[in-house]
Amino acid sequence: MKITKVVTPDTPPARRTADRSVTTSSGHLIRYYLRDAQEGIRRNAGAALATILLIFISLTITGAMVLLKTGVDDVIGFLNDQVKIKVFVDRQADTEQVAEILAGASFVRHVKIETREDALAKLQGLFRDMPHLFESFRDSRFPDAILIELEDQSQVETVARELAATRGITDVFYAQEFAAQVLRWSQLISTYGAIVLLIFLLASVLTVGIAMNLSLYQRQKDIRVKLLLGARESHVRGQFLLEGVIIGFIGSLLAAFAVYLIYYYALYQLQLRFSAVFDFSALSLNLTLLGVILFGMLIGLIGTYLSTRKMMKHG
Amino acid sequence: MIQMKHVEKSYRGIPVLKDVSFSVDPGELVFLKGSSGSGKSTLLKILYRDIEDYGGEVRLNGQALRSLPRYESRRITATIFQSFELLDRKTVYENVALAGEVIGRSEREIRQETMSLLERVGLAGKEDRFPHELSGGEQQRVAIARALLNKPLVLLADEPTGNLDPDNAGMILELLRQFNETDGITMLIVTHAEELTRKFEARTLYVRGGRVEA
Repeated sequence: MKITKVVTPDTPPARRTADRSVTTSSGHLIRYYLRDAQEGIRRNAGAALATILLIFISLTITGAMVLLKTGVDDVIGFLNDQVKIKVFVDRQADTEQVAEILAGASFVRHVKIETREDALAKLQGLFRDMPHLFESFRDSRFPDAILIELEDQSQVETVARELAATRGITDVFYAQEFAAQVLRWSQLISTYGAIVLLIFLLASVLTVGIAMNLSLYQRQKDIRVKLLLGARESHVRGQFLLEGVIIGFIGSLLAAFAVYLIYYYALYQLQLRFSAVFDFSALSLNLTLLGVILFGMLIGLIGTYLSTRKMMKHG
Repeated sequence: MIQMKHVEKSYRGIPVLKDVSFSVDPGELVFLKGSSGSGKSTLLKILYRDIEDYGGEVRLNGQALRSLPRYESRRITATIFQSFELLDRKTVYENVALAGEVIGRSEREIRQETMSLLERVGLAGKEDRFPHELSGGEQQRVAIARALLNKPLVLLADEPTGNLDPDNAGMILELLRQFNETDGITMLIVTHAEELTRKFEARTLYVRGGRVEA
């Protein structure tokens, strides 16, 4: 192949020094690396998709757990705020007399007797669609109960303990007792959930790392050529970090959408029905979604950072 | 432009370069010859910063090579290779433009200069071809255009004609000579092509047993 034309500037035949000014700008550089990062993800689409999926699963679980915990906290908070204690009275005792004694106590604001008939009426309402179940209760011998409203919510547990030791009272029920149970279960779920979550998050970081290692392997020559052409090591590495962050962002954006759906179809519906119990603000929701997205980007960044640590040494 | 003073390099205790000292003036074209394994490529690798652990001192454009960040010295010295080092999935235009893109030059400037350089190396009209659609000589011309896009002061050529037939090899050396003359680019060319280099009025250095002789 012949060189058809070599254009030489209009210069004297003696050696000269050409104009060597080269203008560079970080704006052009950022645009280039953004373009190249997109191309990198496209070239490594399979691994990128697997990573996005895993990040999506991990962060959806994380977000759902945050919502669950918020809901449970609301329930616990609601139960703890209750100032009522229900006591069942011994059948041998005179319910009205017991109620009168209790009403005289300083910590009691109000007492109300709930007779067997009242209890049956409540059950009838509860089982109105299942009358056969209600029939099975009709012949039961319910003890009378007394509902005690206290002056101070903080005294509930102390008062309940004292009532339990009082003659004539067989059982004591109070909301804080359920709150403690709910809290125990919630802590148990949180612990095991956190372990599962940690495994998922580690797997996500590892998958990002593997995807990036694959990408690095595929693009060894590109990296070498870029560095030989005068690219900064930090920029070349930055491109891979950018790819990791983009992958993390896509996965977490999908997860944020899924978390929003979980909120809308679960927590929000509960909030509509039991507005006194659930109090999840729009700000909390937005912060949760933002947290999910930032966390996803962080996973992408950490995974890529770990996989590119040694890369520049081979540049 | 290039100064090497008492440069030494060993691989696992075996000396490859021994007390190498020479200099290349600005705008000069110098051939570097020697048998296989004599240390020519090692010498070039030191200059394009593929090897950093060596003894002695190397100065580039008046500055100690070690004191320059690697990317900066690689913008002063461009390198071409026997294997061309083109990216297969990029077109001729994209391969050349890459040099400007990675250092942040504007698209307009890159386009202008890439087209101009492709014309100068005789590849006008082949911008959209892929490397595998070109002959070896054409691929090396793409590599030359890419190396010169960012207007380096020095061009290092590691066996640029090693994979070419004598006709193409001659054309590549002629092309390099033209760039040296018209643009004043300092060139250090490692080559085996004894016959082809005879017609050039250029200094030749010989690497023998790890030492450089005039």
